[in-house]
Amino acid sequence: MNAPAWLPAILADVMLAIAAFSIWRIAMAGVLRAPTDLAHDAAILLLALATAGMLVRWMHLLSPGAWAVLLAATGVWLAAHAVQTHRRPEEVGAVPGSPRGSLAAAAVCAIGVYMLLAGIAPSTINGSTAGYYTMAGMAGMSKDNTITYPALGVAFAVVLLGFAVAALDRLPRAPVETAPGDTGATRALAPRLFALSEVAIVVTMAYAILAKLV
Amino acid sequence: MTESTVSAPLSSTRTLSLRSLVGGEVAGGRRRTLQLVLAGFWLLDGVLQFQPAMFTKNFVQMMIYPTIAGNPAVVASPMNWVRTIIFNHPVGTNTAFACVQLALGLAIAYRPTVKLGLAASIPWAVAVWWFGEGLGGVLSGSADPISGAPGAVILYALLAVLLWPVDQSAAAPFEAARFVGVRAARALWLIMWASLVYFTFAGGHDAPGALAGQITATVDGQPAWLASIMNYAANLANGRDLAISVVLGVVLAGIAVSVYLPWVRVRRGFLVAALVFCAVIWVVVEAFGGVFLGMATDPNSGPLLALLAITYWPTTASSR
Repeated sequence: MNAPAWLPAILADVMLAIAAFSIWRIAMAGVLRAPTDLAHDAAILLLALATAGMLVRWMHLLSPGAWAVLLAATGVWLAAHAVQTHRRPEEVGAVPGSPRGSLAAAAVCAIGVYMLLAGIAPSTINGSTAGYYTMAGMAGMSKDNTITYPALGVAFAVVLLGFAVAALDRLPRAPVETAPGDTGATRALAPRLFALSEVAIVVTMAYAILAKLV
Repeated sequence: MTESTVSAPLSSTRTLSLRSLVGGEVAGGRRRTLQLVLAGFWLLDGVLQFQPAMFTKNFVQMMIYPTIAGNPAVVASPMNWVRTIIFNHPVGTNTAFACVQLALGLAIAYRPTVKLGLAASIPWAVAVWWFGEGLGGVLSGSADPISGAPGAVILYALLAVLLWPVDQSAAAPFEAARFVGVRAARALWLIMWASLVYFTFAGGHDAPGALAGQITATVDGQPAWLASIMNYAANLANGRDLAISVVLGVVLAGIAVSVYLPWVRVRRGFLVAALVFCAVIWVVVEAFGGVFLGMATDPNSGPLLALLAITYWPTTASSR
């Protein structure tokens, strides 16, 4: 079956906006020389673009294999960064980002790799089945591309939603206060919006998995 | 606002306004973890409601229509009215349903809106229980404890009440008692599990082949590993329906009265039995809520009953 066309289109637009925001953060961190976890920002950028490509055809920038390699490399980088931060925090020094946050981002990258390899892609059905009554077994009408290893997919969707819930629970109530001597870099990087972006990405990834179960 | 006012339980303030539901401090700890699990369930429901099949007329014909049959007219007539609206506007209504459930999950997960989320989830769950699940088959005679009675969604409402944010310093023998009190919490547990005992023996679920037929009815379309587990269980149950019903009824009755027992270890034993019951029915009969078929609206009653059981787990203080 196929969702209404506007649903993946809206979600892909949100993913594009998050990708643009990540680029803004990376650029502002360079301009304002603000300490930021560039690997984490890069991971969000790649995840947003890859997820958008899994939702709509017009965001097909790279092949699934190329995206998988990119996300795998980013995930390994983040995991290594997390281990380094955990073992020698003094060497990482001014670069923010907890080992736990980097590990979580690495795990999301790994789930992204699974999604790409499991065949999660824009629907091959022309037009939407939304609003209609679809009879079972109508070839090319009611059935969509079923993902590989659905049980693993469901487990990953649950993990992603758990990540979203935990991220929201940790979200600070008030906007970040500017510390003395801060040139405004902290506000320009909008950490709360960044955290919300992560929530939006993982919920969208969970949707992309569950929408392809049948 | 002083700290004592912020963290005071709702029962002590006696007022419930929209303003009082937003903001305030929410303590962490075990209770918050349970709230987050509940938020996760709502979030999962919201995302499941966005599945492609939910936007088709199959949703209302296959999910809602069958639950109307057998209900008294006073229940069935409004259900028919709602069914007609959903059937005529499947895309708009389903979008609204999914957004509401997503919003409930997000609101409970975000600390300043946890009360708003929990409060809003109660009327929503009751409405879905009636119009979407036909009161879980309680009045139609189709309710069965191993396949989701008394309706998964009503458990969300119950959990929202039991997990209402309260002062963590308030002493209670288990989490569920912190807001409603020990007496009310125990009574709710007794009613819930005693109703499952009743449903075990009502409706002819102990007839020969009934249990096996119930399991095999949901096997089609499941992944091979799950289908093999379900088929094995169906073969095991075949011809033993009466014996299984009797054993199940006795165990459920024990679970129901266990909250009144003075021995913590025995209470824990029955809670473990409840958790095992939840795990078995969730896998074997409920097939993880049918999530692999692309038509699941929630994970069904298994994990929610398990979450309920955990809220009754004796606290460290009470076990001393």
